[in-house]
Amino acid sequence: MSLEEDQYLKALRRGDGKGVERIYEEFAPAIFRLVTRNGGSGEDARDVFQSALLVIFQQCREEKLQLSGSFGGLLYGVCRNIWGNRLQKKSFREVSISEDIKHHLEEPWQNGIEEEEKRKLLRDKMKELGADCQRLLQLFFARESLEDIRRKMGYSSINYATKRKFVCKEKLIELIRRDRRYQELKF
Amino acid sequence: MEENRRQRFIEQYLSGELSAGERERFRQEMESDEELRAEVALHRMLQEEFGDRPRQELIQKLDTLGEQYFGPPPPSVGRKGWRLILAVILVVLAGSGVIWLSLSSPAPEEARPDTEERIPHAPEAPVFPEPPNTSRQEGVPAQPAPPEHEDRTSGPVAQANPADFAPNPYFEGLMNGTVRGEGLRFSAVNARVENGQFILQGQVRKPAAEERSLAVFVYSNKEQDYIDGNVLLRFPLNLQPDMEVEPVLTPAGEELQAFDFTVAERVTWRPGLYYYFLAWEQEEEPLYIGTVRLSAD
Repeated sequence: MSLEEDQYLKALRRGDGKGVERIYEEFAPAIFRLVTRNGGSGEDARDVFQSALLVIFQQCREEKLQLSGSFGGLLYGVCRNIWGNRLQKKSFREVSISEDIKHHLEEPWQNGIEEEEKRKLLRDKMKELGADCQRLLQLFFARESLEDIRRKMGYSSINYATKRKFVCKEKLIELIRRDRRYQELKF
Repeated sequence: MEENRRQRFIEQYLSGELSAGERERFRQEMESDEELRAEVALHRMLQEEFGDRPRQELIQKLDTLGEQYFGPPPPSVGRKGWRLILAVILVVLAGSGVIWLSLSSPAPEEARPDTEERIPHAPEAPVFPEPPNTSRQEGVPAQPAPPEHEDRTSGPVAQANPADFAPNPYFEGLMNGTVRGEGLRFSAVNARVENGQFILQGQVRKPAAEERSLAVFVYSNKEQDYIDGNVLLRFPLNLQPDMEVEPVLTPAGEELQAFDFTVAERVTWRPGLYYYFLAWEQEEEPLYIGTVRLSAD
């Protein structure tokens, strides 16, 4: 892996905005073509690209990453697998796959992709909650104290903050369970 | 409340707050209960995903860059989208209202929506939704129930227990900044207790394609009743399309259709202050909140 490509990994690991933007500049067009030429939309391409970067981020932050090829090759391979999996699931309903676009990846990467698909479901469902519930749960998951949550949310008491947290979390879990992906992904 | 305790127990297990004995019993229970295992796994993953700050910060950056390089997401996505659409509608309506007012200067009564006249027994000052980002709520009265909500067939309040009329801090908190209409527009909502019946009337504009059912939930003014889930009345709203009211088209091209609703249920409540929510039947997150007073005989 070249020095420049190593910078991509470092940028991702550190969440460096400019470095991450260079990854988009360099590789987004190829992924856009990959997805849109295989039954997907621009929106699908955006989601696939983001998921692939998060898979790589998770692997490289845990120091699991052993790259034998280029960063671009890895990114392309992960994107192909993510889109291939999603196409396979869609094919039962609306899309027929003209070619097998999946790419061989080692098991840790396959597991990382599966994990990321689960996490994406959680994020998608969180966005469906009302703004109040989203904010409350973000504070709760960030391990803010109930008193801080009460104050930041403008609630009248800690008991009420507790009740709202329960209602919002139950609602999020219900939304996740009702999604068809919940069964497919085998949580 | 059983579910509430279960959720708390799982969280305590995951954060290592259980005693060694409790932890061991919980593990044994998980071994024989597949559903519990799946539930614990989901709670763990939620914490791992949303409690991971560097990851969440990276996701925010990726969201922004994704829009920049692949285009924005579709205009109508979940409730966030609806809220934005509602805000746009209200800004447009407010703008056109200002222009119209400057041209014709009508009396305040003339500016009310025409829906008010079609709903019998509508209060003199119906509560209408206000735009987001204001200090008051959409469709939420800022103060405890006005006198016109009182049961006029009843006697003086002085004979009742004053504690039953004390404002509930939970609900007052809801009225002061946390209830949003989630894209719905409630108008001319009027609740009262009359001749032993809880009567609720009003109108809601909602997307024609929205399939979830609405319901009314009534609680006493006691905070413990709400925390414990002791709902006094839970009743589905039977929505009747109001064909005389033109549907509103949102910028995303979706129709907000007008529906009237009436509930009349016999109740045996003692005198006091009661709070009612209008909410999705399965979710119970308040979309509209109001009060009703039942005076002593």
